Amino acid sequence: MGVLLTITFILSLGQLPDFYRENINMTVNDSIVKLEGYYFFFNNSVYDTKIALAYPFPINEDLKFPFAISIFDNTQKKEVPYRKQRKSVSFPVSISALDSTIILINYTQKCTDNYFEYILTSTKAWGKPLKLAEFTIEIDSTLKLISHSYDFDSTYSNKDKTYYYFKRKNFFPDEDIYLRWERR
Amino acid sequence: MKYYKFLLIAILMSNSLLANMVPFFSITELYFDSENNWHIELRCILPEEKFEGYFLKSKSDSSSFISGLEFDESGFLLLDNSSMAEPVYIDKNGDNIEIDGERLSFGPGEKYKAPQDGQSLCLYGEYYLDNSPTLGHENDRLDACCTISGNLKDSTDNPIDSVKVCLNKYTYYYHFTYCRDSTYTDTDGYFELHPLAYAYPSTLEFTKDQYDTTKIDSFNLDPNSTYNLGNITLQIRQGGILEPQNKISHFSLSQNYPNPFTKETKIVFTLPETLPTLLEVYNSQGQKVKTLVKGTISRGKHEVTFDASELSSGVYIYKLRAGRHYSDSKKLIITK
Repeated sequence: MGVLLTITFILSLGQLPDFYRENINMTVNDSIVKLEGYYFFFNNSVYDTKIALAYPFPINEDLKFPFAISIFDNTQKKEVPYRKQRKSVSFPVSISALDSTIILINYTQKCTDNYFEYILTSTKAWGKPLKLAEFTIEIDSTLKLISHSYDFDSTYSNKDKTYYYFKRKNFFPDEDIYLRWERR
Repeated sequence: MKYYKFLLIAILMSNSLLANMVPFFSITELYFDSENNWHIELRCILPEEKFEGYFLKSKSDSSSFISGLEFDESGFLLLDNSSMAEPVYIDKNGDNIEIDGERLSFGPGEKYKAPQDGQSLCLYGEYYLDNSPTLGHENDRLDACCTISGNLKDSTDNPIDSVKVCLNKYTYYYHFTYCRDSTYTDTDGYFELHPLAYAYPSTLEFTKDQYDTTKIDSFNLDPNSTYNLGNITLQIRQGGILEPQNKISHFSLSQNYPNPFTKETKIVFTLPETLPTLLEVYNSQGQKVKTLVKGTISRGKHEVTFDASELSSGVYIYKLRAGRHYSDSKKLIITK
């Protein structure tokens, strides 16, 4: 089945921390994509909170589980242990009352068909738009980006890399990010 | 439906697909059967996902779950003592259950009421009581609503129309106010609400320009019940103008007075809107020694008395935090 149960899930949830910002850096290097994501949360209640989060991946015959996964609580400065489930990793996040936390996630995934996609529409699971979302795509100069779903705000190239950047405010995405590239 | 189709197409098209993180699961229903055995329904956003490595804790007990558990294709997972490595006791009259941070506290002294025989506690934004449990299925909210009605009148017994009636008001960090259930009075001053029987004391608020806002706090709701509040009187605001309290539009924390002090001092603060608020006192080592305010506090000026009779002499810091944007702190001195 594989479809996120987003709509009914939103309705059933209790009070969640606010997921209000993200900074995502994707590095495309031939058939490998490395992702570094900073996720910002705020606990808008007077009680300390702990929540079980999941980071879902599609897993099929051609696509193995991502590797080199690390989850780091940038506020408490400590590694967050995660549980490997069938199609995701799950992990707890603790946030003090009326306080923020930043979770840093790194992982790498092999992309056999020069195609990469990042589901942004799962943001709807939080029931609120992101106040700010920033994305940087770093692609090796031997590769050429041939299609993408979002317009870039700026592009920068040097001898080795090309960098694409875009940001969105009050962002409640209806579209995912996809990238397709080929060799120059 | 369109949204599901879009996601499905995206998944089928992609070779590599990574996603923003999502809440993993929630405790969506708790039910005790006639033999007092507990049944917990979990709901996961990822259908057919494994549920590995988790523990269930109650106030008196804890155990890991057996391996091999997984959510069904609709994202449900039903748990009971057969799901546990060791049986876990949950007191149906009141307990605090937790699965890796997902918490449900119910019973005396807790946020939510304990379910009565035949009832379940179900989650739909907040926990409510349902007289017809639906374990393993979408919470249908049948046999879970109640009726609240009443008549709004002024002090001369005339009906007031267009009064906003709001049940359970919240303010979010985007600074918008949300009523979980709301309606307006008709030309006869009559209103009727059909909310879920939320499993916690609710607040009814009546507002209209030119009238003072009136509240009924600690309003307990039960499913399939009717609450007729009769006549409720709204007082005309003095001079028909906004009171100074309502003009406050800034955040402030005043210096306590007296200061230094021996036993008691007063701390005044103002809030520009209704916000979740914490006012805490810390010692010079940064340890919290007292919580003076903890809850959702309304807009306006507030005065708190701080009884420091248990604390020793020294310099302390009091810190006020309100919502996402407001924070301030000041020093106070205790002399004995």
